[in-house]
Amino acid sequence: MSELQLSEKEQATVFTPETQVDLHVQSPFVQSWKEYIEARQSLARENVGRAYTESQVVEQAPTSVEFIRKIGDYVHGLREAELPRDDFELVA
Amino acid sequence: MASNLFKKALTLLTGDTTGKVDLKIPKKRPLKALTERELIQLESQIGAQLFGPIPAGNRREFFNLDPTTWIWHEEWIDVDTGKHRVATTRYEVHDNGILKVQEGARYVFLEGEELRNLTVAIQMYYERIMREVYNRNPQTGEKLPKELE
Repeated sequence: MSELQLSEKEQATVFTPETQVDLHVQSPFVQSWKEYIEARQSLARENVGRAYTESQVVEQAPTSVEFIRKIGDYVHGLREAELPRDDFELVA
Repeated sequence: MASNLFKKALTLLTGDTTGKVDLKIPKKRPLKALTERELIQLESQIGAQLFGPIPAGNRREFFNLDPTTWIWHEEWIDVDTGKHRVATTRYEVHDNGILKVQEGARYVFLEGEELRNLTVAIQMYYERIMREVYNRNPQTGEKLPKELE
């Protein structure tokens, strides 16, 4: 399985240069776009002390191609690691 | 290459001829018993929920096909003509951007709001499949404790 190595900025979306907010929602599971936005707005209120609009939350999401590539690599590797293996030896 | 990708995606989407795909993760069944296609279908059940409610009668899929390809597939009935409509969009990760590929449309690199929305969707997809399909902590990649399964 490939290793997910996101930069600090990618792991923790930055709302301001001074304040990093961990946007990984611990629990409960994020079930929808609305919950995603609300969870991140809540984190921003707790950590930055400011209210953010939905568009501000979305604007702060990482947008680099590298971020999407890393997620794709990782998810694919994770899936591959879960597949059954055929353990046999080729005999000449 | 493009046609192969579409073929693989469509096989994943339509390979089950018995009708609605509704896989559930068995409590006692290890994921290792599932095929790649079944894992992708489980992921897609989550991916389809990321963009809001799906209108009755519509079918939506959103999933990671391979390290550099994401698929959005939508089926619906055209209210004007009553005809069954299908649209498959492929998002390809290239060094210079995310290329949006649709049949019959000009290929474009995503930018602005559309790129941000896709990125957020992929981040949500990652967080949810990690927890709900693979039972892993999305931050660390470590297996979650048994009681959270």
